[in-house]
Amino acid sequence: MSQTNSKTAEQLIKEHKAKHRRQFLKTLFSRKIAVASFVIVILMILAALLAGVISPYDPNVISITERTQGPSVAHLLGTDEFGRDVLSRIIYGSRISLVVGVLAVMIACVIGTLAGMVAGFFGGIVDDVISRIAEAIRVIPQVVLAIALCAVFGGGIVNMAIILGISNMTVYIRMMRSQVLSIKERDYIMAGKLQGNSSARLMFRHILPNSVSPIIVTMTQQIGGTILSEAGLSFLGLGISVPTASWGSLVAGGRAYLLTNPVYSLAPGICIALLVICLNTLGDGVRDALDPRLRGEI
Amino acid sequence: MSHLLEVKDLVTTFRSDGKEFNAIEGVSLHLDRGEIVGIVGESGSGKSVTMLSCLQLISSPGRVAGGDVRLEGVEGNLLDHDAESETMRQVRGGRISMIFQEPMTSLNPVLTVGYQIQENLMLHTPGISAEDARKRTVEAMKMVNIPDAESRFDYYPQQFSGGMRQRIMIAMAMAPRPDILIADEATTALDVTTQAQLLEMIRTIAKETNTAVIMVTHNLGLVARYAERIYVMYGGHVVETASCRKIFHETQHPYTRALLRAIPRLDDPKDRILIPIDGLPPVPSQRPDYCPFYARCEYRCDRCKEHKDYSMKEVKPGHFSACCLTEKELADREEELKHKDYGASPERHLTDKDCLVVKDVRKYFPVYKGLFRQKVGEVKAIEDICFTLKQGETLGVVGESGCGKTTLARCIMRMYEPDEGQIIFHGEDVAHKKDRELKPYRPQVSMIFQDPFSSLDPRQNAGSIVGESLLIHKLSSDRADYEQKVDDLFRKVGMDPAMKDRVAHEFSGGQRQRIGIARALSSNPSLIICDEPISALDVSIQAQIINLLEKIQAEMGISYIFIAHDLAVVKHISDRILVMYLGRVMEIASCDELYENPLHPYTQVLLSAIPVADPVIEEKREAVSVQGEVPSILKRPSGCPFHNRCPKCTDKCVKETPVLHDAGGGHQVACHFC
Repeated sequence: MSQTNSKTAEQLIKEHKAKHRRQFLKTLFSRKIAVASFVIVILMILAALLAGVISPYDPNVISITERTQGPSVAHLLGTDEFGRDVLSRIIYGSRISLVVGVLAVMIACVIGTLAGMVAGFFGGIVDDVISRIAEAIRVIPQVVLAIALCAVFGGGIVNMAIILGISNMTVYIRMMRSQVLSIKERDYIMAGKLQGNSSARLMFRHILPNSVSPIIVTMTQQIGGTILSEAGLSFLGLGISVPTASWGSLVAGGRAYLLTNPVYSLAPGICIALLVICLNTLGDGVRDALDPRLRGEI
Repeated sequence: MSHLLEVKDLVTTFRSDGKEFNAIEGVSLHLDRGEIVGIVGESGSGKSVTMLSCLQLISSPGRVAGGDVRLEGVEGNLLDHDAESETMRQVRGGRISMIFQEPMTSLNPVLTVGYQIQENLMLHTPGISAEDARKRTVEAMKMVNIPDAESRFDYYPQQFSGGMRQRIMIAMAMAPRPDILIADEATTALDVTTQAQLLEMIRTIAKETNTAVIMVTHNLGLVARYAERIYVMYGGHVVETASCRKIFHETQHPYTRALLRAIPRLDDPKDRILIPIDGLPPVPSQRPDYCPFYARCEYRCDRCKEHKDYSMKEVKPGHFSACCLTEKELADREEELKHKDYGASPERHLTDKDCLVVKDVRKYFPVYKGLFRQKVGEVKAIEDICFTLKQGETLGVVGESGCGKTTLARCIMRMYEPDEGQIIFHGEDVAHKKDRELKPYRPQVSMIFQDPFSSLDPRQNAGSIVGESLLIHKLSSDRADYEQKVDDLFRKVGMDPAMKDRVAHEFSGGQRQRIGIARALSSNPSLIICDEPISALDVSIQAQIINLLEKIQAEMGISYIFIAHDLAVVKHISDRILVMYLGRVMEIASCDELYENPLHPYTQVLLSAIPVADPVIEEKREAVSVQGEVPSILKRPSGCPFHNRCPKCTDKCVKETPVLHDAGGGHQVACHFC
């Protein structure tokens, strides 16, 4: 083997990989709406990270003199019934929404994927037990389940994430189980088995990497829904406890002043809608970009 | 002289990655009434695209960019008519019918077959009454030999076997009495005996009704047997055309010559070496503007590159070739090539040591039904399988689909545990060992799979696919040793180790199969089971893989169990052959013995069904016909499984299952008459 030859081959491989990355990004950003969504989501994440720097006031400082004011130069989005700055509370509230959303999806994804993989791979009684548990969780409406769990374990960021994670887990179990059932029949899994691979190695080295893209797509699409659920629970007063601001509780707080000070309730509502829409659009974009029919091109 | 169908300079382009490229470039062909014409070529050569273009069935991103298609009785150029126009719709199905490869998906499962045939008939026969249409439908079904045609009218497609469905497709195509029938790989998915029956029938019908037939296929044997005139396609061009006999005996174009030297034939001497065609067919988007075969051609000279006009020239009366070399040049080069050393067929190291002894192996699969999964029956997949395999020997296993070849392979690999019997590997019975006890057995036996696309993990790079066994069985001492061993394996299968960082989909089919072979070799096995290792590859690539397998065997003294349905290939590579039918061994004999003196009636039928790529020999061969199709394994006949199709069947065959016995000289056969 001549040195020059292998070098060109290496370059070729690099080009190939770069081409695939380019293709993914190209498809993802070929739609203006996906680019816009991406920018908005990034801005919101930045706002959440830099909340301490950019918010004009401390979100929890009460000011009796400035109660339920409309938008003004001092308070861009007005104040609430305790005179707290709504804009600052929205900025700090985005932390709760994003953290709960991401954490819940991660929990759901890890547990659900592992359980689904084990169920699909071993089949039989293992599959029966896991699938029945998943079905049992599924038959209870998500909100009802979350309310029940909230009532038992109480609110709080981590509890919220766990509760929403458990109720979202079943999606991953079902998806992963069906993925594994189809991948299990491919020849390369049989080849792996015949080479003497252990079950764990087969699952983690051969099956899991081949089911990554639907998992990623589901994750991006679920974050939006989870944020919405968290907002809903907070709206009902079950989620994050006062005085910590969360978008859902802000909407709930402004309900009484809908006629006198509509911005108080509307602003966090618009934030929720915007983030969820953007995340879903981004999820769709990721799905299209990861589509194997597009990826398969050499 | 005007022809029934005449195609001139047909060009079809496809758009990919924002660029347009020609899938076919200037294809010309013609067809007369009652003629059977073969179009042969590898995948991607443009055979199907040509046919679809004539019918304006090319869909976006493709489009017919130019050309002239004239059909007798239709005014002007067919391509000038709108694809959706009344004229085109009448041409499609009415004048020109087409049957496709996949009989399982080309019929609508929610409509009865009678309705589907009748629908096509009524569309293309104006003014026909429903009653007449039904009558003609039944006639058409009788014509394709469907028993009880009247009562089968109301059956649904899934109530028929694959061969029967393809018959229904033919009935549907023929019912409106078209002038041209296009059979696009129509029998490729079927068993060889069924394939022979169907093509025989198509030929009879075509001659009776004076219908012209275009056979589109990659199988040179089939066109040698059935076609009268042949078009050879390569890289979007027709490269050679002549009568069948001339193509095979006065071959002109270097591609056709190379092809004929690369395929194994049933009548080959045992030590013939296959001369593979180097390289890969060009990707349409990177096709050169000169001869597309240039890069792989053994006859090429500098002039070829300057010769941009790649149209056909008449070399001899009625014989056209697209090669720019003169006959003298070709003949000179041919003479040179004769003396070129391709290396002798590799020397074999047959030993007397038994590698594998299989005794009375039986595997049944239970059939469950109902809510509580009650066992209602058994699929008798394999029964009473007995054979021995010496170290360094190749045993070919042949049989039609459903005969249990794969079940047998999986039992030996111990993917399945046989219900009964012994599998003695180097003196140790592995048939009933537990998974954990099998660990030392695994590296000694490997497998090469049929489908090079699903047998490699798409998320792993080639290096880790090949090296996995080394890691699992701790066969390498350290990192450097591991890398060294992986590199060696790549070289052994003729690949550049620099490619080991690529993932599977970046390789071509042939390269993937080489990686599969390297993986099988990695644990240094003494037995490799090859399950149809070349049937998914192009003809010109097959020879490369066969030669590679033979070379590796000679170097490493490995035993092969070579499973295939292509008897010519099996004959080429095997020392002994085992013929299976519905889960039982019918005959085991050494290669030459089996081909010269087949004893079992089934083996005779099977051999006769395989066409040889030589029309002269084809004419001399005597045809052994067989009735019916391979029955479903669920309904295996009692006694001898072949009795209901066997011409020699007696009462004894129905009642008693014949046992495999020696008929002299190690030729074993399971038949009451031998």
